Amino acid sequence: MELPILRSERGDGQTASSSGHVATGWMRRVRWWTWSRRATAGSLLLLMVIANSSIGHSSIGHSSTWLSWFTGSITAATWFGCLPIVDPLAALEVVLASHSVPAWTLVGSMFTVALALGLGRVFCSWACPLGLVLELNDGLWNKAWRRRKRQLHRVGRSLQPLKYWILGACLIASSIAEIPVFAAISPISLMVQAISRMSLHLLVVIVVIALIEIFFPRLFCRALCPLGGLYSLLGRWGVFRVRASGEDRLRCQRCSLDCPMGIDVMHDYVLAGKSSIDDGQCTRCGACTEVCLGHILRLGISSGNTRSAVSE
Amino acid sequence: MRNLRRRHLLKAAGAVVGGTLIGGLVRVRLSQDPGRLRPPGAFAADDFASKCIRCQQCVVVCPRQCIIPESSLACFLSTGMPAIDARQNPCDLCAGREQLECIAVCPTDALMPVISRRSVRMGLARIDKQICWPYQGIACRACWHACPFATDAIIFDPLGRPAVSASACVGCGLCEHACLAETAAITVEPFAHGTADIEV
Repeated sequence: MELPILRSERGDGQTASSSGHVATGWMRRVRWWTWSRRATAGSLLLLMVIANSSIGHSSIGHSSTWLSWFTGSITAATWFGCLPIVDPLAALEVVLASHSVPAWTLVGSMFTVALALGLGRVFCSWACPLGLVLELNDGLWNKAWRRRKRQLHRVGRSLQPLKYWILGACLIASSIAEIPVFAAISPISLMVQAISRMSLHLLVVIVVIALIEIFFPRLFCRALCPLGGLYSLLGRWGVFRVRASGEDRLRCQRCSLDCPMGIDVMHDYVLAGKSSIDDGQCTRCGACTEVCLGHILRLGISSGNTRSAVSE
Repeated sequence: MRNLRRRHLLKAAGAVVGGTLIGGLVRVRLSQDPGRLRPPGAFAADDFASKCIRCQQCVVVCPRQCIIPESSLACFLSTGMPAIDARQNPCDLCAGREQLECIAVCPTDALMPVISRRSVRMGLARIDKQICWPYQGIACRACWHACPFATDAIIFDPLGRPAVSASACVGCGLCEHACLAETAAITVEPFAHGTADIEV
């Protein structure tokens, strides 16, 4: 089938801009969402690494140096000396393990929970340092192995609900062992520690995950990470989401093929006539909006999910 | 539909069994672990372990940089937990500061606020009489000079031999650091797992 719009396709599909209006020239080829995400997650990782490594503190102690406005790692952090932010899963595990509700844990996790309720599972694509590394790893293999995406995308899809059961298992294990289990063994936290302290043996876990993901793209984030599972459960009703508008449905499948979380955007949402993607697993990464040939997918604010049925 | 329900039931059972199994294994493993000296504000080892989420904030804010995150392959589970090696660099209870910085920054109350520095209980100093110099007839008061609560925590007998008062020792480890013997004669023993001897 000849589709006239395909003329604008270039190389690996970097045609559409994410902004509302149709941009021109190089503006159009840049993946704005992807690069703003990578910049956000990357600078957060850099901040945590500097704060926790010897660069961040001088010999007379940290509290008098230039980086005193940030302390912390991925499980918990304090901004400007007064604003605590706590990983909601770590907080839940602490409550279950210690049979108490520490005040700052409650306050700190309220921020992340509110963020997830309002914006969805944004942590995974905008903040998670392991997510950033695995995304780059995934891109590398996609480039090296052209048909990988098409061949392997369906493999992990049936495994995706596994993360909810792992989440349950983590909570049960935490209350039995009386330690916050996922906070202790979380590859995300281990990676930040490994880089900031140059203890490379901790990186083994990350390397193993990256190697597995050659064959199962984004398996950890999609199917194994209990933190991602918790954010998926919380983020279902987030109003910041991918919206589908306009009638220009080309069935190019790019959204479904490029979704790092394996959501079948085209069949389950666009062709089903839904106005927005309300899948809790959507990390609001914007990948589908950038590759959409018909420019009908956009990241924005939306709460409803109905659209007058359009005849196919 | 029935098939689906059965599959969900199986998965739920798997999660419960798996979680219980992992939890049990972790518990057994931790009970075998020798306790480490933790930052002030940590009392019973079990209580500390149940709240520490390895956020590294106490490590970073410590003005003396005596808190060091664990990274041993022997116990993978305690990676990133803050510990103090008193012989190398002991805790001085943030001498000269308004507050104990690590306690102030801890978001999960793993390091619990204390009423005063005297109510800190990190461990208990123990004297090895085989090594300690005064017990061999050599006069020495190095630990007494280092101790922040010297008049209460280290008591000398008429022969000038020191003894530790369990009710006053906070377990900071300054004495262990100051000990002049080649291997420290006075060492702080952290509270092991399963012991909850808090007497604030």
